[in-house]
Order: sequence, then structure tokens, then C-alpha cells
Amino acid sequence: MKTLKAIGPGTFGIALVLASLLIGPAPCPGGVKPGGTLRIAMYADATSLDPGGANDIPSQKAYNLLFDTLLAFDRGMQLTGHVATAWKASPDSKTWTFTIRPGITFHDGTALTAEDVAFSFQRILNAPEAASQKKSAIAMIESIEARGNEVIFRLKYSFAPFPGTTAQIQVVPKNLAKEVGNKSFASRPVGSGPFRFVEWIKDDHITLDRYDQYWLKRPHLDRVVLRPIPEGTVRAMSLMAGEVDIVDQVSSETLPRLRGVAGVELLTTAGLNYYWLGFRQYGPPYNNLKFRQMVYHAVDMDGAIKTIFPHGNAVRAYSAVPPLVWPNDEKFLKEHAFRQDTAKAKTLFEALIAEGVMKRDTKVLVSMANDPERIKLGEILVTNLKEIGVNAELKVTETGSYIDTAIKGTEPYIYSLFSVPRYLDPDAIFSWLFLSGPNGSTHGAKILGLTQLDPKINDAIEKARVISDEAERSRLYTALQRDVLIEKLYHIPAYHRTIVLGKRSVVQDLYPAPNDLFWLVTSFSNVWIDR
Amino acid sequence: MSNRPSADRREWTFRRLRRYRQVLIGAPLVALLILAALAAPLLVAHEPNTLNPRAKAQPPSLTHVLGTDEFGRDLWSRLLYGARITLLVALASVALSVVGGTLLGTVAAYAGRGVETAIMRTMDGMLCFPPILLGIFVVTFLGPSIVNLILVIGGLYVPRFTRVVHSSSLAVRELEYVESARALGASSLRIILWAILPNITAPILVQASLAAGHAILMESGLSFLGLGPPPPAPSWGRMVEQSGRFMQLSVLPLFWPSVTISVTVLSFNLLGDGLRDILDPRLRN
Repeated sequence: MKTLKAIGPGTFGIALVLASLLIGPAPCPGGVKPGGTLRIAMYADATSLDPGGANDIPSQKAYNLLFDTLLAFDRGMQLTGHVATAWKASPDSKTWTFTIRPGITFHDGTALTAEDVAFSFQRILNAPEAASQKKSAIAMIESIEARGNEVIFRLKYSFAPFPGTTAQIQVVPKNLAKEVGNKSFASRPVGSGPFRFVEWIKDDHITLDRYDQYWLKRPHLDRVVLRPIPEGTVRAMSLMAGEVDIVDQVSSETLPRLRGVAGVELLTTAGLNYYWLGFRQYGPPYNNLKFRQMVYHAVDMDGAIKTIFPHGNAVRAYSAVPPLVWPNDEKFLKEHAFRQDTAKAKTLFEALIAEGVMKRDTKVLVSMANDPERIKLGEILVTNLKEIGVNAELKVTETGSYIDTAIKGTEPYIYSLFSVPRYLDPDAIFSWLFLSGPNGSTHGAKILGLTQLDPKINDAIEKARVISDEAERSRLYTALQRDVLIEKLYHIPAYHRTIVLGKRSVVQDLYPAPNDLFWLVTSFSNVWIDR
Repeated sequence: MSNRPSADRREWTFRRLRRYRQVLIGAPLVALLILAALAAPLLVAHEPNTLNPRAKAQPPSLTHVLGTDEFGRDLWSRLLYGARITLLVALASVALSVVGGTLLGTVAAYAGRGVETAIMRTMDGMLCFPPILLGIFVVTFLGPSIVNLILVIGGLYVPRFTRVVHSSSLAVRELEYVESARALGASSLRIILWAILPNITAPILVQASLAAGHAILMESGLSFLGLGPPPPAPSWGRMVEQSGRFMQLSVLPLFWPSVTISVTVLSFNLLGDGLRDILDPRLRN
């Protein structure tokens, strides 16, 4: 069917397919047609093209095409060497040495050296807190040293998942960045990636041209134009009209429309995200286990996901660990997940009243950020709770202040958030969600209300991040996750959103990236347009 | 209303009918809406909030006369229960603004110059702002709920009534029977209550039915923006907002609440216009 669609419907297409069947499989590599402009529609404009400053997804999507990182991801999201050809850790995982690939040049012609790599990290570490959103991600670095073609990182504590963190730090040319300053560098970024910067008209377009000397391979595309189109329907229409070649974040409403359009294809992949319903443990009844069991038994999560995502662009989550990240304990967690059981929920409700934890008319607050999908989830949860007699109420807050009040406030309620791990290691998930410590809690733990040290949770996270034996770490995380999701019910896992990319059929060799970036020129792909 | 002796009876009937035409359409429609809202539990087969994941976004059928929404909830039932909320908000807020406006208007007309200036200039100030903007502003602060909507919409229409009542009172104040009442030694309160108010009910009534239409639009608008009663409460504005996203897939869930809002506002406006035509002596001939 795909072949048919790519050529066009009708007898002509069928004839061609028949012909190709007679001749044999179509020749692949010889058919590549280099050149042309790829027009991409993004759901939002970048905020900055300085990889040391911005960490939001639209900015990453843009500057990821301009810059290289020490390590990169392959199609299965496994770490591979990129600017670094090799990397090794000291036995205690406190000192990490990366060997830099020779022969890489920046877009201005200067060579990429270990000095540049060290500078790129140092620049973020030296930045004031507000100026770099990446600072906390590499805060474990004590010192960085460039020695010959090697970069040596000394960490404050043993940190097994360190290589993963390097995949999000882009290498910038030291001399140029120092000379022109951060602000000027952000307006004319120079990297070593497959495309070089041409122009950026804010809220209109970003233009990038092919970098002929790209070390990995010569990009097929001449030019890439990124256009922000925030409205999902408009993005879909632009794709249908052929005004753009690729659109990101195909919304649930437009998906069925795009599915039937000739010349348009949809690419999907499991997304690296985790959405959940959480209970803020700041007061009764939310900090009562029976209450959380009641809510879990009341909610029809399967029905909710079918309602919110009628076209299947999300899968039900049972685990806080998104697809592609280990450890995979999905089977056990799914077996032990609560099923909707109104009778049980009612019994628990009566027990809670009898025990004096809550009154029959105690208001149960479900608070949601202003995101249509999570508002629906809240609407379903409130309805389910009302069905068992609970006085539930939905409150919708603007997204920015929603997160802010959740971090700073101490009001108990049921909330919903999502997280995207910053590196593909369980530490990125569990430390953000559950780590509370003597020096304060992470934002995720604060939102949950874990302000007091919970030795069981904390020990597991602190222990697992310093040992390097993956099997042992996996065991620790699995036990931790069973504890918080099955025993304590801090979260009710909701869903993992699927990444849906829409493209015109003429766009070839494009793969959807689980981290929601654009993979245009990678070790396994080189996008071209079949005009 | 008109007891003018007529030479040509047929012509008189024709004129009266023409004058009443708008009321004859508007009044029954309004009455029907209020009745339907009151009798909602008797007229529906499904609860308005019952989720049914197995019957999502269905077209009209015998079980669901208007079909279902994306949650599988019965649209007919949500429309009727939504009418309860909308009409409650509209009528209660208009009642509030009538009381507030009448009070302020008569006081302004009857108290001294300083009080009059203070009240009327404040009202003029309030009228400078588009009501929907003020509404959004205030509801954002108070938080969305039915009571807050009534207070906000009611408060926003107070200036209109104040002006109408004020100007009517000014006119009536100078008439002979008020003067004679005063000469007989009646107190100010007595004059306002027994001499002025009965004679300015007509413009208040007209203004009230027009304002009810506006209040419905306002309630729907605020609900559309997510400032109405919190979900899952059925509300017309929210129904429009939610189904608008799925417009390309199915139009009916968007069609029903939109048409209902339009018809409701239209019937209140017809009623108001008709009443004005009948009650305003200057339009009688």
C-alpha cells in the first residue's frame, strides 16, 4: 500500500507496482536524488539557538541540526560514539575520559578540538542559574580537563549514567564563542553539525544550509527551512496542501483526516514520556493509602485513554519508565495495576468515612493544567469519583502557574504532570520524580509532597546512581518502582504519548525520533526528497 | 394595553397582531425553554454526566436522539441540563442587576447632586470597558463557578439599568402627580416606591429581557473560554468549545449547542423588542 500511495493511486500506480514485481526489488541507493529544500512545520518556534541556553524541545529541534554532541543516539536510542570515538570510566565511575574524533571542522573552518569540548561544558557550568537550563543536568561535574585529544571529566560523586548526560551538551567553537560573547553567538550560531545557520526571522522561519564538509556524511538536502505553526489543524492543512514537507506533533483531531490523504504518510514511534495522576502528600485525605486505592479503583483509565486518544496516539502507562528506557518491569506492573472496581471503591470510601479520614462531603480537588488532553482526563476522573459518591471538583489552571504553585505550594490535591527523561537512564526518571534529600527535594518530589527524607526511596536512588553494575542497578530501580507505584500508590500511571510525524511521501529516509527531535542526517539516515 | 376606541375593528386587530408578533414568537419560546429546563429530569433517558466509552461520538439514534459526545455522554440530556445552568445564570444575574440598577438609579435621581455625579460617573466608567473583558478579568480572579458567574454578569449589567432607571426617574420626578404627592407630605421613600417605580417598570422590563439575552451570550462566552462552571458540568459554551475541536470529524455535536444558544438569545431579544414596541407610548402610532 505504501508503494502505491507514494506513486499515486490509479491504474498507473498498479501497473508500476506490477512492473517492479516483474523486474525485482527496486534499486535503493542509486535512486537517491540529492538537492532541494526541506520545509518543516514545528508546533512552536525556538526560543534560542544557543545550545548552552535553551533546553526546550523546539529550540533543541532547531539547534540539533547545527551542532554535534560527544555521544549520540542510534535508531533504538542506544548511545553511540559521535564526536567522541571512545569513552571509559574509572572503576569508581568518578572520572570519565572521552577520546575526541580527529578531522571534524566547524562551519567557520576551524578544527574541533578537546579544548572546544571542555569549553562547551564549562560555559554551561559557569553560567548563572537563570541563563542555562542545562546547568542542573551536569551539576555533578567537579572539573573538566582537555589533554591532547582527550577530555577528562572529574565528578563530585560516582555517577554511572554520566555518558547519557553528554548527549545533550552540544560542542561549540571555543575561540569564536569567547570572542563574540554568548548573545552574539546565539544570533549567529556556528557548530559542526550537518547544516549551517543562514537566518532566523523570529516567529516566521529558520533557514539552514547544507554543510558540505560534514564529517559523518555529506547531507543530501541543500536547505532546511523550519517554520513555527502552533495550531495543529493549520499544520495538518499545510501538509495536505503541500506547503510543508514535514509536520511534527500531529494532533489527535487531525490524525484521521491525514490518514486518508494521498501523498501524505504518518510515522509513529513510542514517545519518551510518562504522564501520570499524582497525589500531593501535603494533607488528608490525599496522604492516606486507602484514599489513593479508592481513587485508583474508581477511575476507568482504559476508557479514559480510549476517549482522550480515539485514534491511538497514546498507550496506557503502567510504569514510570517510558518505552526504550530500562528496566522494563511492565509485565509485573501491569498485572498488579488496579482495575476499575466501583464496588471496591465504594467500600473504601465508606471505610475512609468510618475512620474519620474524610467526611462524606469532603471536597476532593482534581487540579489540571490547561492542556485539553489532561483536562479530559480530569473530567473523567471527577465523573468517576462522583459516581461512587465522592464530592470531587475539577480545577483548571494556566500551565505556567500550575507548575509554579505545585512546586512552591503545600496545598494537597490530585494533579497530573508528565516527564521526559533528560538522558536515557532510569536515574533521570527516578531522581526527578522521587528524590528528597537533606539539601532539598527535586521538583518532581516537591510536587508530590515528598519533602521529608524517605530513607527507603532515597537510599535506592542514591545507591543506584553510583554503582556501575547494570544488573544490580536494574534490581534496585525495579524494587523502588514497585514500592512507589504498587505499594504506596504515589502515582497512578496514565499514558505514554506516541510521537506522530506527518510527512509528504516524497520525503525519503526519515525516521521518527522518540525524543521528538528531527533526525535528518544521522549515522543511520540521510533524508532526501524524491521530486 | 391600548384601549383606544377604534373605528375599524379589522384594522385594529391587524395592527395589534403586528405589534405583538415578536412577543408572540419570543414569549412562548422563552416559556418553553424554562419549562424544558425545569422538567429536564423527566425528559431525558440518560444522566448528563454518565460516561460511556463504548458509545463515543455517535450520530443521532433512538437511544441518543441527538447523538453522543466524545465521552459517550448523551447530547440531548447535556443540552437540557445545560439549559438549567444557562437560564439560572442569566435570570439570576439579570435579577441582581435589576435590583442593583434600580436602587442606584433612583438614589442617583433623587439624592443630591454630589451623590448623583458620583454614581453616574462611576457607571459611565464601567460602561467604558467591554463587558466580556471585565468578565474575563473578574472571573479569573474569583475562580470559575456558577455563583461567581451570576455575581460577575449581574454586576456588569448594573450600569445599564442604573442609566435607564435614572433617566426615567428624572422624567417622572417632574410630573404633576409626584409633585402633588410631595405637596401632600409623602416621604422620599414613599414617593420612590409608590409614585416613581410603578411608572418606570416598562423600560426596566424591556431592558431586563434584552439583558437576559446578553447574559446568556456572556455565560456561553465565558464557558467557551473555560471560565464557566467547571467540567463535567454541562454548559453550552463548553460544549461548543469541546466539539469545535472535532468539527472536521463530526459537525452535529457542535451544531446542537450553537443553534440552542442562538435560538435562546434570539427569543429573549424578540421578547424584549416586542415588549418595547408595546410598552413605549412613543412607538404606539
